Amino acid sequence: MTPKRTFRYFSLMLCIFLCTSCFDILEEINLNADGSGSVLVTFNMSKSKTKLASLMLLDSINGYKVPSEDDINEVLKDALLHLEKSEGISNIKQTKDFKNYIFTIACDFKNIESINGIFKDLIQEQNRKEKTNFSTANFSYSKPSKTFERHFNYEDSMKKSFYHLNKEDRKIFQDASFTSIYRFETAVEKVSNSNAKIAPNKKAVMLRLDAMSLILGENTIQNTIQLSK
Amino acid sequence: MIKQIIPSIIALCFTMSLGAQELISKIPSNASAVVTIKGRNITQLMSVDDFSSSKLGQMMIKEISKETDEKITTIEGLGLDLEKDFHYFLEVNDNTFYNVFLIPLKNSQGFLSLLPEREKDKIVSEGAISYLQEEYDGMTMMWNDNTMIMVFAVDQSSEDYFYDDYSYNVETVEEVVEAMDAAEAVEDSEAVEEVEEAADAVEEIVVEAIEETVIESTENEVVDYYDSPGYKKQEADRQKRRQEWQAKKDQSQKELAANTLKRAKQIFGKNNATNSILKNTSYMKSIGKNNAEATVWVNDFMKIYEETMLNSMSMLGAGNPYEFMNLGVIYDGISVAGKLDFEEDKATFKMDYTMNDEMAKLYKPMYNGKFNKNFLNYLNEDKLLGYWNLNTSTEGTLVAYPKLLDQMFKSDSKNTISNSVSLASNLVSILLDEEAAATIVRGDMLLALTDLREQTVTYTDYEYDEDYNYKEIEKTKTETIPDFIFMFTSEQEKLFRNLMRIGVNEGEISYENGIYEIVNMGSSSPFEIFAMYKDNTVFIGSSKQHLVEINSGTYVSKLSKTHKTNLTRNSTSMYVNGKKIVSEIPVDSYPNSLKGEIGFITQNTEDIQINFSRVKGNSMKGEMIWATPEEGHKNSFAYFINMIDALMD
Repeated sequence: MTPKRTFRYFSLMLCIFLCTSCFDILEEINLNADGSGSVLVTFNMSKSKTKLASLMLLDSINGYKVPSEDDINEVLKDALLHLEKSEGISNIKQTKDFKNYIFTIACDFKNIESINGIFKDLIQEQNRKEKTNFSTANFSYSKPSKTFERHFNYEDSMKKSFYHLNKEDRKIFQDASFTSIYRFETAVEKVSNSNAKIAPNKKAVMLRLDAMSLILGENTIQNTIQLSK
Repeated sequence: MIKQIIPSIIALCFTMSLGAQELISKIPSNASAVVTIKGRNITQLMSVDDFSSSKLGQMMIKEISKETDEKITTIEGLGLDLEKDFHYFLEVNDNTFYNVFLIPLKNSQGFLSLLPEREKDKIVSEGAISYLQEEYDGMTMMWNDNTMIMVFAVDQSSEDYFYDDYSYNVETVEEVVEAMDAAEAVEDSEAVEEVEEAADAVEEIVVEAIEETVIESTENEVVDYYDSPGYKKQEADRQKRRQEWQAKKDQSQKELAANTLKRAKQIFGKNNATNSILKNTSYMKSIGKNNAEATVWVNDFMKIYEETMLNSMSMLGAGNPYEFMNLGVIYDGISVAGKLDFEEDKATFKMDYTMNDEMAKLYKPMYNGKFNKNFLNYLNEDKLLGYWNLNTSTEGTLVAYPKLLDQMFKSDSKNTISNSVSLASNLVSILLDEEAAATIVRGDMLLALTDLREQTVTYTDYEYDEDYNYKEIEKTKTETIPDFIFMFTSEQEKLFRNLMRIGVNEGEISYENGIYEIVNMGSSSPFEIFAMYKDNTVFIGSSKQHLVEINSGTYVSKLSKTHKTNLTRNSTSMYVNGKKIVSEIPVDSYPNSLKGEIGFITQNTEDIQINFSRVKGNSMKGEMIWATPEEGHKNSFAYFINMIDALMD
């Protein structure tokens, strides 16, 4: 490494070391009474934008390759193609903001099974490779019983993978959060997850968890929402 | 009786005097590299007892104790004579690299305790000397009660490290080669008709071979290929070749092991300074007698390159780049000597790079550039985090490089590549106006991290109403980022301004009061970038304030004489203000495991300085100085052990 590169690396590393890193994931579902609806997933890393901008000037850090804008675009393009091929999915929209590092993907779905279908193959592949047992159905909705469920079965492998990271990398998750907002046409009677809150108008449920408690299995996003019949 | 006793006493005295000889006398005068660690110096800096009670020492003792089933529970128990010098040397002989470690012992019992029982059975004793040789690679350990040597030999000419037998049909290939040879013979006789015939013959044989292979492979799809006579014959041939290769490999390993043992005995038996490294003028001049705790000396780079690169590339034949490159221009007569010294308030590593006359002539104009003293007026060491400067000469470099290429590629060679490179370098030299090029970038430049600045950054968050509908809101937070400035000397103000004007016209750059700002830095920069030109200097920096003050002549500089000397007198200099950086890093940025040690780290981090001198005579000197706090540490060696102790929890 030449002195010039060393110095550049040094100043960028200083930037990376000085600036905080965290991210927020927002999952939003609007469910119609017939089981159709729309979903929006937002990945917001704007709190870490200085650090990310510095990171992206480096080829790699801590032994990991730093993805370029082109790499990220490629991944997002693949995600779009995957959605387009998924049954029951329409009106796909994507936004990417490389200045603030906010990425969203939204679509309409014919029924709740259509959303499950999006990730089914990926989860099955993960379960096969890593010998995990993640549920392939993330959501379910029963029209007769008017019950909406967010499924999630915690796997110890999450904790193991987390502790497999070095201490510096683990810091990324310290201030990260996961928020889900589910909106319904009919009123919500009750929710099973004690961390979830029902809106005063009874038409929405919000659950906000810090990523650490989710990774370590202290909290869950599993939730059964009973709608009024 | 007296007649028998006197010779015995004389022999004993002689042996004792040999035993007292320093191990350095065992290093041959033709060694290519020598590393020495002075045991006494180290133990004076930190006693074995003090080291044993440190956490690092405790960890070592625990490991040793585990390895030896608690037969050894102290560092002294290892039997090493820590008051004497430890050496490593590299000797290159007949394509073989001998890596040799010389270890002084108080006794051999400690070392023997480290050996597994099955290894002890392999020990061979010849008088007072014992040795053990690894079957796999011939590594030899040889010892008596006060010395141990370890010899690792690597045969550079050996091409048998891996075996890959391609499944070519050898007979077909041979037939084609024979036909090609025939064609060549015909070509020599200039009989055109015969050449055509031979070429036809080659074609016919190749076509036949291909057809045969095709037919065979087509048949193989139906018949069991692995049971066919053709495959069995191929397999038998392969097996035969493998056995021959294995036998050759075994033989060469056996020879290497025998040579290693022979060399080990020679080194072990050598006990006087004759023909030792102490008689090597270059070594004595570079290292000689000094008080450094550790020294490194590498001599005769050309010999090392010849033995490694030339041998490994020899299989390329005419394509071997070293055949038409005159590497001697660079590597002949080069030596490097380094000395590591632990003082009370700093650890220093000094390096002396000696080159041949030709290289010195080329390097001098490259590295002996002028330094723009204005640079010193734009730094304030109260805020400074670090700097790196380069005092080269663009003109000198542009003149020297074509000369270097010309000499390296032997312009008098019969090789076309050599002549082409030589021609190209001459053309470049003629077409380039080195003096004019130097007016754009003279070659002296300085990059500095000038300050840590708090900046307000915005980020997007979400605000939820009571029905959990949300809207995006912009929030702000404070982040600490380093500011930098890059300065280089240029006489081409007009060129700079024209370039900036194009940027302004294109909307990429804005201009205000003599300072340009790159408007659209894109998402890939954590900094804002400003630029300006003043007094034959181009400035590029992240702090507008810094540039505004330089432009208006109100910048208050502060720089010690030491920094000024380092920046002006060296060809390159690098400085890291460790104390400042550590004290400014926000507590939250530390890993949790270090948060408890922040106080200790802040109190115990000082500066690091690296300098490379200009070329003087045939030598270039380099030094790295790691300043250490005196308070709380006996010396800089103890400082490093104490730091490791503090960070080990």
